[in-house]
Amino acid sequence: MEVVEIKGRCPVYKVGDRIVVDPVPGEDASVINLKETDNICTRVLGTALLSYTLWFEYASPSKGDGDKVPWQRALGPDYSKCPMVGPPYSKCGYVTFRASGVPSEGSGE
Amino acid sequence: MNRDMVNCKVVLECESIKGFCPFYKKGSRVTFVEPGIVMEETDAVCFAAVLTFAPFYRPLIRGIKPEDLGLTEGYVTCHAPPLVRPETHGTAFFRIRQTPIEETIEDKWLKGLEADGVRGDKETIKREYWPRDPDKP
Repeated sequence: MEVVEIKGRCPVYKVGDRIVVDPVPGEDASVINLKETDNICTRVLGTALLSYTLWFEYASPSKGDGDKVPWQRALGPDYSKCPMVGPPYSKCGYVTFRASGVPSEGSGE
Repeated sequence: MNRDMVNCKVVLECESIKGFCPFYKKGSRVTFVEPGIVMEETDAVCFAAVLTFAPFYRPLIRGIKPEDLGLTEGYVTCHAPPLVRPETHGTAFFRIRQTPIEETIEDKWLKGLEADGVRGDKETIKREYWPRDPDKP
């Protein structure tokens, strides 16, 4: 998930910052990649934004063409914002994230 | 900073929609009383919008004022950014209304139990419900 736009002042993110989520190989689990993640704002953690990650993780292409469109849709991009309204209605500005999935090895793509 | 720890009813009232939203319109409400959403006082529940509000749910329902959370004018938005792209929906703006309440849903439930003859303080009553097999669905 990459920050594509900030309206107003955000003390946590700047444009281009990323939150990277990796699946744990061989396990039904995924983790935030702390080395490749720039920052995690608690007002984003637990929101609908992170629900994309499990969708990306578990969406996979079938042998036929039938699931091609849902698979491509699962890879994104999808756009979400944090809950802040932005000045003058909130102290901080709002951040828009672009969420997209990158097929990993063994995903079939 | 005002930190009155008073239980509150929190109502998100839709102030406006910027763009296309299939779910909310001006005046739509989502009403929270700990520990949940009061369906009788709620017009629609967009799951992603409610999740986006989730970080603010606990402090607001326990009496922290919106301005203390950086929500200067008492507004939050849903998760949809106001982008002109086919992937996105419109942005719903919600005004936060906080009303102090005497009883939470749990308090009312405990009172109901008392009326049904289950007596004791909260701890004693909760013990009545402790399961024997807590790890089984």
